[in-house]
Amino acid sequence: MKKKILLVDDEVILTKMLKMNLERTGDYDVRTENEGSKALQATREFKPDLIFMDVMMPDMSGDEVIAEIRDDPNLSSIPYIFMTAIVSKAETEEMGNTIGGNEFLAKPVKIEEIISTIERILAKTNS
Amino acid sequence: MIQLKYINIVCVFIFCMAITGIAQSFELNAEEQDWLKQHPIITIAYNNNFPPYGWKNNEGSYQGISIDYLKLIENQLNIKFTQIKQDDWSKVLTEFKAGNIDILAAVAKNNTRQKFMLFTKPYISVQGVIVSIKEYKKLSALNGEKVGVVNDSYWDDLISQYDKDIQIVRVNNTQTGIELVSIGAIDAMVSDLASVSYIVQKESVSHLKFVPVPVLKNKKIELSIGIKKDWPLLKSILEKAINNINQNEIKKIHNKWLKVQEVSFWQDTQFQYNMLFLFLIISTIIALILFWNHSLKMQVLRRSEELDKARVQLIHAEKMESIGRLSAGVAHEVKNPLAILQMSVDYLKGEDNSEIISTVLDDMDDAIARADKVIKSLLDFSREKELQMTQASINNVITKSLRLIEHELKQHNIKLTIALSDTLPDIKMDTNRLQQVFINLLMNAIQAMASGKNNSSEIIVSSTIGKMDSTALLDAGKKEFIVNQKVIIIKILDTGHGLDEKNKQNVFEPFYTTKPVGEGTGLGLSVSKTIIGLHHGMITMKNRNDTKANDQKCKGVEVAIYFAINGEEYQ
Repeated sequence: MKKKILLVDDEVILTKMLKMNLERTGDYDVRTENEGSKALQATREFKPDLIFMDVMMPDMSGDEVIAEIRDDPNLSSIPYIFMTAIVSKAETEEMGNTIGGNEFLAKPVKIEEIISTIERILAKTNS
Repeated sequence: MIQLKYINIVCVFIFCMAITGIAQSFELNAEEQDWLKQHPIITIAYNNNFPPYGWKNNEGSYQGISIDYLKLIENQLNIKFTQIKQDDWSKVLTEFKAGNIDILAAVAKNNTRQKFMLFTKPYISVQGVIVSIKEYKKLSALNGEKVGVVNDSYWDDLISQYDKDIQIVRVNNTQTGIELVSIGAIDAMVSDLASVSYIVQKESVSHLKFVPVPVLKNKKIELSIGIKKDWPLLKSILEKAINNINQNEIKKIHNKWLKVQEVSFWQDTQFQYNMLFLFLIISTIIALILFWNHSLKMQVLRRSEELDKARVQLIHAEKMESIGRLSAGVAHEVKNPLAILQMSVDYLKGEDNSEIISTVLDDMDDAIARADKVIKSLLDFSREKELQMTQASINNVITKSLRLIEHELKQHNIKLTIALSDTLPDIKMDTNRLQQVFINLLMNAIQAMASGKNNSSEIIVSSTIGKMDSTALLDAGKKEFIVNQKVIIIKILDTGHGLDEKNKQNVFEPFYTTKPVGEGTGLGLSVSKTIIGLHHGMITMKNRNDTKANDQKCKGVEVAIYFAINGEEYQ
């Protein structure tokens, strides 16, 4: 069964390209959302196995969206990965890909890295 | 024939004129003329050591006032005296007494001499003086002192007869006496003004004083021609001749030998002392003014330098500030498009591509990575002010940094020499940031050597406790440090190509790089300097000036980093 992944980023083309990349593997069912404020509703409807969340978005920041999802007991167990443009890749490596206990990836990021991160997190969730 | 006879007549006439010219005011009576005829040889002794009256010069001939007078007398009388050469004045007197010398050219009249000598009327007057260093004002002041006189001279008689307890030192001539006074061997010399002035002038002796002999003040000693006691006729003959010498001739002789000895005011010792004192004061004032002027100039120069430096630092700070602000904004805006590009490239790579397309996609991949690297450096910049300070060992940071670049060293076959002092105290630092600095500097060194063709590449890393030296301080223009302050000094030396003149100025400027396009962002050293600055440290970079064992100058760059230790002064 395909894993469901929700991509939230205000960059439309980025989400489109990431979706294309992920779906081509045949392992994932991907939905994209380009407004932070609509992400909660999308999560409720789509019930993803994993959420990719941009940090800086114009209407609502990524951590605010995550906070709302956390508040919903039905959704609080969904794992998520922050994608950010404000820290560099070297720093994410240095910090073990977590900030404040949250997983994150620094833009720009290669698809291999995204997939390996997804696999790692989903494996952790299943176990 | 007639013509020749005529010429003869003219000659005779001129000769007669000449004879009458001489005889005009000169009448010797018959007795005197007879006497001269009967005495064709008249022997004379000149004073050989009595300048300027009569002395023997270096060529051995006699000269002086009395000699010139006697020549005039010879001309008047149309005779020639026969000169007896005798250098010792005492012997001259002995010979005279014995009748071997008939006349003496210049002698002073005194009682002793009158017993065996006739004197013509005086033709030279002489002023007596006491020559000394101390300036004796009276003859009585000479009591108990060693006083020089020329042996058997008038002064010898005078001082001998003076009933005071004076130690008389008899010398051969006035010059010897003056030399003895000059070196302090005797206290004073009594002689005549003309001799003394002549010698003093000739020998350039300036520290001697001469005062007139008081007992003889206004009563000068006079020199006459001394004649055998039994030749009174000669006395009258000579006196007639002396009387007949005209004033012009006398003046000529005096001008020749007795130059005016007046002491000009500028030759006066007191005046000279005053002038010297004045000169010293003026020189001191001028020197002080010059010194003051110079120190003001230096101060102005120093201030201008400081201002210049401050201005440069201000510009630098502003530059950094705007770069920081800019980079944070730019980073975010650029990273998203980069992320899109990355995703797109990754997607295309997954398709079935021709070889050419694959190569192009790889190049795009590299370009994205490069752009990301620049953005990363910019972000370092914007975040460089946040430090996590802990008390830690700088050596540990260095060691850790070296471990991280170990692979690079091996790859480029670079030798590593480490000399870390184990007495360094721990200091407050952000170990991560400093590690970033060391890695940055070490990588720079490696790249500098990798691009050259040096087979004996070496990096030397050292840490010591030392004192802050002024040149480094000037180079970096840091106000936090003072000269001789106790500091930790870390040095990284490489054997690369070194800095050229242009580079030296700019190494720490943001976006300045000498590396090939794509290899450097030009921010590494700038960031390093800022990080060191946030640690209140100082960093300098210059070409090495140490030497190898064979005295050859080492090539390469020396980076020095200084950290303060509690503001202590180096002992």
